[in-house]
Amino acid sequence: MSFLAWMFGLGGLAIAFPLLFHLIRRMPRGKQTFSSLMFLRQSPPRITRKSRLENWLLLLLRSLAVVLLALAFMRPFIPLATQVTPSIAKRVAILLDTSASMQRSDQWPQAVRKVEELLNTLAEDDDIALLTFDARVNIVLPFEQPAQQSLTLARKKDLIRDELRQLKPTWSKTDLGNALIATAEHLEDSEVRRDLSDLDIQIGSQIFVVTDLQEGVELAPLTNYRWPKNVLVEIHRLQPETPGNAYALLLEDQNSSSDLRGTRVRLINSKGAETHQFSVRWLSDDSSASDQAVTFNVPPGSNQTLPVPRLDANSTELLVSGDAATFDNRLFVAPLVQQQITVGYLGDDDADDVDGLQYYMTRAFVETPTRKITVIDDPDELAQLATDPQTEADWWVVSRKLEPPEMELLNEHIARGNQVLIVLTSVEMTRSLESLLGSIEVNEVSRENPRDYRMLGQIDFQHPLFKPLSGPQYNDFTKIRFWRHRAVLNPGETSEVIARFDNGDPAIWFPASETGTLLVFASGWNPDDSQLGLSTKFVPLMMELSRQAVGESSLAGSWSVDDAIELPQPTTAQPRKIVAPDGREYRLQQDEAVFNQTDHPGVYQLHQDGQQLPFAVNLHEMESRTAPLDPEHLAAYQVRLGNQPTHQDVRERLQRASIVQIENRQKIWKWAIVVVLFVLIFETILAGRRQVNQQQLAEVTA
Amino acid sequence: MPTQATKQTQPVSASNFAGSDSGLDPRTLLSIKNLELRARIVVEGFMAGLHRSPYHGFSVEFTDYRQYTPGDDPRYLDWKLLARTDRMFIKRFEDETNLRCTLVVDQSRSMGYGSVGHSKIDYAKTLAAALAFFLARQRDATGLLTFDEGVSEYIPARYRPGHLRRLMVGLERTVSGSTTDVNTALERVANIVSKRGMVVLISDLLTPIDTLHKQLGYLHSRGHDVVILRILDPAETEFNFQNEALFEDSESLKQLYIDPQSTRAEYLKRFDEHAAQLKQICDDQVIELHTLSTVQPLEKALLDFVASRSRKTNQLGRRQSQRNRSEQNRRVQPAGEVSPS
Repeated sequence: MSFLAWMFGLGGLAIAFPLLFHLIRRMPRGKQTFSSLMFLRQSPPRITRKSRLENWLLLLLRSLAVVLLALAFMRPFIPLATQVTPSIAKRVAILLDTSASMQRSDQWPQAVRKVEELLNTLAEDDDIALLTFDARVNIVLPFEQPAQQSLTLARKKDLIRDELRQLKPTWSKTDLGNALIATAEHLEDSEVRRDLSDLDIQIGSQIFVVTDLQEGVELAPLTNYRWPKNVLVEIHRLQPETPGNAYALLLEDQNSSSDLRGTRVRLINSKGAETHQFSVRWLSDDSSASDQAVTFNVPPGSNQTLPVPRLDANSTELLVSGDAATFDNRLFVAPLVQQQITVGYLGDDDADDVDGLQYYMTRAFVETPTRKITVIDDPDELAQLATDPQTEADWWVVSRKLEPPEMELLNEHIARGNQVLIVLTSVEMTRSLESLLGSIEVNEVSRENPRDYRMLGQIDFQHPLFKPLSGPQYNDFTKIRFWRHRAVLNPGETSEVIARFDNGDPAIWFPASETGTLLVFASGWNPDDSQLGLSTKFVPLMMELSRQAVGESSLAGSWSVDDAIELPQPTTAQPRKIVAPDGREYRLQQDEAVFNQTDHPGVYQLHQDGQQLPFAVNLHEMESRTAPLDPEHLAAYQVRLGNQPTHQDVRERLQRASIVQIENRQKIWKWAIVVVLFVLIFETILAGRRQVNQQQLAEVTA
Repeated sequence: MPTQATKQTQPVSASNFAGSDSGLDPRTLLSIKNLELRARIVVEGFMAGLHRSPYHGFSVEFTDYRQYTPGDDPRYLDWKLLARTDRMFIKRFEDETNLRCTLVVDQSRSMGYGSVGHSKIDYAKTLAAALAFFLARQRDATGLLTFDEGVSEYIPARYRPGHLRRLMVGLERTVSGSTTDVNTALERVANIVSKRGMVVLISDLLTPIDTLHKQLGYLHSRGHDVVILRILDPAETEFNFQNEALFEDSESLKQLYIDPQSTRAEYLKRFDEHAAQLKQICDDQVIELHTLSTVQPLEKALLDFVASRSRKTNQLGRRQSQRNRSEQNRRVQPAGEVSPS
C-alpha cells in the first residue's frame, strides 16, 4: 500500500494527546472563593505515573480513531502493477538576433556558443526550430510538419550547427516585436507532431531568444498582439566585452548646407560607457584632413553637438574614433555635386535694369553647394550654345516678341523635352508666339491707380510648382498685387491653368505640349507689372522651375538600411541600375519606382538618364542605442516570460496525476473514515457507561 | 468522555476554632440581624462583667502645671495657687470629652469572606458597632470611615443625640467594594481627622505590606493614637482546605489551581511572614495590633481591647506623672520652694 499524502502521517502523532489526557488528572471543576491569593502559588497539574493509566480500552479506542483519521488523510491506495512511462515532447524555438548591434566585439561568437548550450539542454523527443531576426524574420530550420519525414534530434542539431557557421550579423535594425509574433505564430501554425492526447498534462512551447536586447529594439508591434498562453519566452542576453557605444548624427541636410566647413554633428554616448573622449572627422583623400578631426568630450548618457569641417565636397564618410563598438562609427552622406544650369533669356531688358525681369531673375538664382544657375541673355552667345545640344541652355525664359530663327530654336528646344517659360509682356508678343500658344485672344489690362489691382485668386497648390508653398505658413499670396496683366480669354481647352487672377483671368498656365514643357505667365514680376518679383514667393518659384527643368542632382532624404527608396521617374529609355557600396549592381526595370535592397550602409549610385544620382544609406539610429533593456519590459506587452517545466518535472507531474487517478478510483480513505465513525460511536457508548457507573457509585458512597 | 467526580473543596469545620467558652458565641450573636442590638448585647455583657475585672476605664483625667511665661493666656492661671504662693502657674486640662475615636472599617470584598457561617465584615461591623456603643456610653465622640478601594463613607467624630444611630446606619451598608486600598483610607483619615484622637482600624490587612509602613507612620506622626483590630477567618490562618480546586480571589477574581495539600506549608509560611512584618511595623510605630479571629467572642475582643488601652493609659499616666514631678522638682527645688501639688 502506498500513500498519496505522506505528510498527513504526522497527524498520527496526535495519538500522544489521548495518552496525555489519560495521564493528566483533569483540572477540578470545583471553584473556591478565597479572600486573597497573595500567599498562594499555582500548583502544577499532577501527572500520574504510567502504571496508573486507567481506562485502557478507552485509550486504545481513542488512539485507534486518531490513527485511522491520519490514515484517511494520507489517502492510501494500492499501486497497480504496470505503469506506462509517457513520452514527453516539448517544442523549442531558438530566436537568434542577427541585427547590426550583434557585430559589436564578441557578441556573435557569444550568440553561437549560447545556441550550442541551448541545443545541449534538449531532450530526444523535443522538436526544435531555429529562426533569425533583424528587421525581418527568417525561419532557418522550421518545426517538423506532419507530412515530413521526422528527423532525429541529433540530425537537427547538426543542421543547426551548419546553419550557424554560415550565419552572420546583418546591418539591419532589431525588430524584436515582429520576430516574437512571427515565432509564436509559427509555433501555433505547426501543430504538435506527437499525439499527446493520452497524457493529462499539455506541454507548452518555449522560445529562447538569444540577443543583446539593446534599448533600440522595436517592440511596438506587440501592442496589438494577444500572446498565446502556452508559449513562454526566455531571454538569453549577451553581454558585450566593453559596455557603451557612441554614434554620430548629422543635424542638417548636407545638400542644403551652404557652408562646407560647418556641418553640425551630434555625438551621443550611451549610458555605462567607459570612454568619454572621441574624435570625429570626415574621411578624405587629402592627408591634411586628419588634422581637422574634432574632439568630443561626451560623458556617458549625454551628447554634444559641434561643427565638423568638411573640406572636400566629395568626402562621403564621417568617422567616429575612440569608440570600441565600431559597427556604427561610420556615417555616410552623398557626395556634393553642384549642378551647372544655364538659363537662356530672351528679353528686351538688361541685367541691370531694375524695371526689367532679368534683374530679379538673376538675383533669385542663388548659388548653393548643389546648384549654380547662370543666366545668358547675349543673343550671340545663345546662338553659339544652341549649336551643340550638350551645351545648350537648360531652359528658356521669353519676354519679348521673337524672330522666326528664335522661334525655330525654341521649337527644337521644346521638341527635345525641355522647358520654356513665356512671360507675356505685350499683346504683340502674344501674336508672335501663336505657333507655340495657339490662337488666343489677349487684351492688355492696365491700371493707373495703384489702389486698383488684381491678386491671385485661385491657385492649384497640388501642382508641383506650388506644392512647396502649399503649407499654411506659406500659402498666403494676397500680398502680391498685379497692376498690369495680359487678359487671356481662351488659353486653350487642353491647357492646364494652375493660377488665376481674382477676376478669373488665367495667371499661370501650361499650354498643351507634346514633348517639352511650356509655361506661361500672364503678368511679369517686374515692379511695373506686379509685386511678384519683390515677394518672398519669387525665389522658391524660380528655384522650383529650375528643379523641374533640370531635375535633382542627388536623391533627397535620409535613408536607413532596409528603407524602401522611391526612385525618380526616368525621362529617357536608357538602362537603369543601382550600384551598391560593395560593388553589387541591381538592374532596374524602366517602371520600377521603389528600391528596397538597401541592406548595407554606404553610398549607392543610381544610374539613369545618363547621370549618376548618389544616395547615402546609414545604419538605423535605433540600432546604435545599445544600452541594455530590462527583459521585464517585455512583460508590459503581455509576453509571458519564463521557462516551461523540465522533462523531469513533467514526468513527476504525470506520475502524480496517475497516482491521483488510481487513488480516486480506490477511495480507501472513505473506508477508514467509516471505521473511525464506528470506533467513536463505540468509544462514546463505553465512556458514557463508565460515567453513569461512577455517578451511581458516588451516590451510594455519599 | 466521562468526567471524574470531584469533591467540593471545603475547610475543616470552623467550630473547632470557636474555642473560648466565655462570652456569647459569635455565630449566635451574629445571627441577630439588628446591628445596634448586637452592639448593645456585647457592651452590656461586657459591662456586666466589668466589676469583676481588675481593670478600670481608659478615660483618665489628667492635669498639669507649668510655669507661666509672658504670652500665655492669663485665663488659665491657677489663681488659687497664685494667691497662696504668689507664684504664677498655668493649669493645663484634658478636654472634658477627652477621647475622639474614629472607627476605620474595611468594607472590601475580601472582608466578605467567611468560612464559619459569618463573614469577616459581619464580625467587623459588630465589633465596630460595639465599640461605638461603648464609647457613646462613655460620652466619647465617635466617628466612622468605611473604605474599600476608596473611602466610601465618612461620619465625623461627634457626641450628640442621634449620632450613634447614624453610625449604625453607616455600618449597616453592604459590602460593595472590590479591592482593598488601606493606604488611601489611611491617607484620607490623616487628611480629614485634623484633631488628634484615636483611630481604630478594623481590617484583615490582606494587602502588600510595602506602603503600609509609611501610611501608618504618617498617621502616628499626626498625633493619632492608632489601634489596629485585624479580623481574620480561621481558614485564612490555618488554610485547612482538603481538596484541590480553582481558588478565586474575591477581590481581583483571579483564578489559580491550588492543591492545598502541597501548598499549605508554603501558604502558612508566607502568611506568617506577612503577619510578622505587620507586627514589626506596628511595634516600630507604637501601634497596638490586635488580631481577632471571627470565632472569638466579641466581648472578649472588646475586653482585650479595653484592657490594653487601660494598660497603655496607666503607663502613660505614670510616665507623665513622673515627668511632671521631675520637672517641678527641677523648677521649684533649686529655689527652695514648695511643690504646687
